Amino acid sequence: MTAEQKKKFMPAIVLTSICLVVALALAVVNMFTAPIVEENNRQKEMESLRLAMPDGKDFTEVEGITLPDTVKSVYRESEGRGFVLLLSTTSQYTSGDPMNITVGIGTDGKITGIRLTSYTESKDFGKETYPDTYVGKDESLDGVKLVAGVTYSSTAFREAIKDAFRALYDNALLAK
Amino acid sequence: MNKLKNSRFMIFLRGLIMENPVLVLVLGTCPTLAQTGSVISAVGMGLAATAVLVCSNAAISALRKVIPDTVRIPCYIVIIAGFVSVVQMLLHAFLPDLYDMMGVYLALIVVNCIILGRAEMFARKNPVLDSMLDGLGMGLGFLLALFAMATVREVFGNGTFAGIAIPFLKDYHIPILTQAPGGFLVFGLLIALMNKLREKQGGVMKKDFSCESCPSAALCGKTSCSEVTEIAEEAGESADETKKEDGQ
Repeated sequence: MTAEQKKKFMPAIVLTSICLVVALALAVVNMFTAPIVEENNRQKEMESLRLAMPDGKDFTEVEGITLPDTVKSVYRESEGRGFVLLLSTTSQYTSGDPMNITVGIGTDGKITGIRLTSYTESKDFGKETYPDTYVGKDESLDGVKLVAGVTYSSTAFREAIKDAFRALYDNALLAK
Repeated sequence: MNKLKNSRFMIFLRGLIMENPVLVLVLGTCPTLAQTGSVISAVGMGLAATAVLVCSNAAISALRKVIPDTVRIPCYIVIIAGFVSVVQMLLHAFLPDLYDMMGVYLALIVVNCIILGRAEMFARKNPVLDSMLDGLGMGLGFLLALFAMATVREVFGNGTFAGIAIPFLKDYHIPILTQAPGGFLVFGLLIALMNKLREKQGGVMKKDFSCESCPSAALCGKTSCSEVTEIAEEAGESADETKKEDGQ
């Protein structure tokens, strides 16, 4: 290789080589850290599911079932305590972004816990207190009232919970 | 031998106080202002930047005879980005809370001018050990500055230290200190304090730094900033005289 050619090609060769070595090093580090990151994320997800089922140990996603639009995913508790469902309300009742709800339903068909994880409506229906009025209720939701003045949001919330029960019963995950 | 040890110790010490990257060289201002709302995130950022500085300085110094001048900046960026990505992956895996707390600023270490600045000013001209010491000194200087600033902002702005409530200050804190204006205010006060201290101790002031560490040295062609100032002053005076003559 002449000096002229060397001057021409050397920068490209060096830069390409550095890129390759760096990419290889990153791949090696990623090989070690990716499983740990994945496990951390899974634990974080489990923590959020435990908010709706405090006694729950571990959860696995139930796949291959038909779900209503509001029900995003269903998780089964590993020791048979029940199910946790991730819900997202439809725009039928709300004007802003959908409400995201995590609800736990025990094998006895009663709500074990409920958390409103996202609520962007301007009128608050008591996002800290209202969901707790559902705890212990069964499919009929007897005794749960809509909130005066925030009827649309509270209706959307109640319909999402009803869909959660429907998802479990229609897929024979719970027996009536 | 002793002289060599002393000079190496000076290389390390320089970044800590005399040429502190944040309070004297005023580099890395963006993460300094953004990450000093809490002591924990400031220490995390300082340690991450120090690790990247030491490793990138070592790598760039080791490759200084291989990297052609024409592509040195892209090569430095790739090396620095590689180390930042490694730090990012390790934090994500082993300290996920700190990783979440640092957010986008962790990735932005790639464009932190302290790191690129030290690569360009020092690592490409010096041996590996000296470059690592320079990186360590500069990194710890960055960490010290961040820690000092975060302590003032968190203690007086939030009434806590590393998340632990301080009895009296928790009730009588100054919330603006945790906001952006408070960040600038504390930053300015710390720089003023640093200048005063350095002036008292007869330290080298910024205008007296040698051109060796100036990124514009090649373009400027002068030997010191005071020489540039003198020339600028002379040019200003002659321009005034010309104006007067024109007026007459």
